[in-house]
Amino acid sequence: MSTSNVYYELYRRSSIGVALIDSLDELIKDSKIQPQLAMKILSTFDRSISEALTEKVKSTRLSFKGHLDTYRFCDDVWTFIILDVHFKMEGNEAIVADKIKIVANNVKKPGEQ
Amino acid sequence: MSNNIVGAIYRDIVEDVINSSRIDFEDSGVDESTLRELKLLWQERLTISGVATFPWDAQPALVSETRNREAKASLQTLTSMVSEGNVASTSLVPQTFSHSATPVMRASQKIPEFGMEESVLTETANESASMNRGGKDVTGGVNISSGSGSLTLPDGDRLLESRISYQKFGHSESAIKQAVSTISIQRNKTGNTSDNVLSQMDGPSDTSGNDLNDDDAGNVANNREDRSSVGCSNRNIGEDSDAINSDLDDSEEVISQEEEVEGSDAIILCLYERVVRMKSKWRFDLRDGIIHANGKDYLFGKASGECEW
Repeated sequence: MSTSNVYYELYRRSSIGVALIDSLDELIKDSKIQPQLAMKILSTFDRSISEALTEKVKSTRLSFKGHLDTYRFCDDVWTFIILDVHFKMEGNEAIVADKIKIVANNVKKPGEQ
Repeated sequence: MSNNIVGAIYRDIVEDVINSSRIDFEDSGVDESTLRELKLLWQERLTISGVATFPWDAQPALVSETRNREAKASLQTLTSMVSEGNVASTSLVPQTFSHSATPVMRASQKIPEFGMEESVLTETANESASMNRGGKDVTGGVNISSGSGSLTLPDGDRLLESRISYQKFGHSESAIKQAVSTISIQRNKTGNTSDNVLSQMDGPSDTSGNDLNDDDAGNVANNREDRSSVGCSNRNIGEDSDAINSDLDDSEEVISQEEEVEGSDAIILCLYERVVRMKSKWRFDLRDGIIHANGKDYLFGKASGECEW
């Protein structure tokens, strides 16, 4: 039985992912590290953030409503653009946004059942 | 609130990645100091982004507090030196003023003048302490106070006053150096707007330094913008040459709008468990997501949504 060691690179677009990429770019520019090492670090980041989200944020739930403007399903990735979206979180927290984009990968990784 | 947990979870991710990458760094023959530098750069960038409060953010607050304490302490030494200075200057004053009553008057006048000096220096200390608001011109602030200090006091006391002010500036200079490094990071964030404001304070604007910093800060952002703008311009060229077919290409406008939106607007990165449509009603079951909205990050384990298309 082979376990999948590849994690989604989706979260590299997040604030923490972009901050890491920018920092790595700066080190590469100063010739302090090689690009190959940066790629390894990013793979480590993919694993770390996926595991953190799976294990540490289990209890946080939220719901949202809005108007779906665009939907796209390609390569097992859903992309939505939702307008006038209201998020409701536990503790009566609410976030409102005029427009939000959702990029969602399949919870089942390729090869999983 | 799922924003509260962001700081702790991001810290855990940073620690995990850094610790896990130590072996890769060793294998590549890169020094541990570079790994520490990566961690610092990463944490700095997260702090600048302001998407959450991080455990390492406590340090800048402590730095500003210590600067305030240093400023207060140095002001206390200044007042004590002023009181000593008054004793010294009363012996000097008779050399310039013949009347015996005037030394007392001059001494009492000196106190408010030194008080003015103190207040000006306080402003300097406050400026250096509040550098995080985007003030750049540290040296300008110091110069202003030294300039005004020399104007307010009589000639006989200028030597004493200048000695005191240099010692004061010595205290604040170290704080200033700390602030400058913070400023350089802040400048990268605030960009052109703060530079425009500051150049007015400084008189002739120092464009050479600004250009360098702008280039450093702007490169990454510009690269991203360039990519999207290049994409849009290519599309525009295509539309011009294929004017007949342009009305078939409504989706391209949406795509270009999406790409423009990509950088700073709200986005959710997550996994989907279930996406179901019933006529025009869509339901989503999402998991393990990061929401970036209104400049803040939120995390969720499960999210459910309903939208009308």
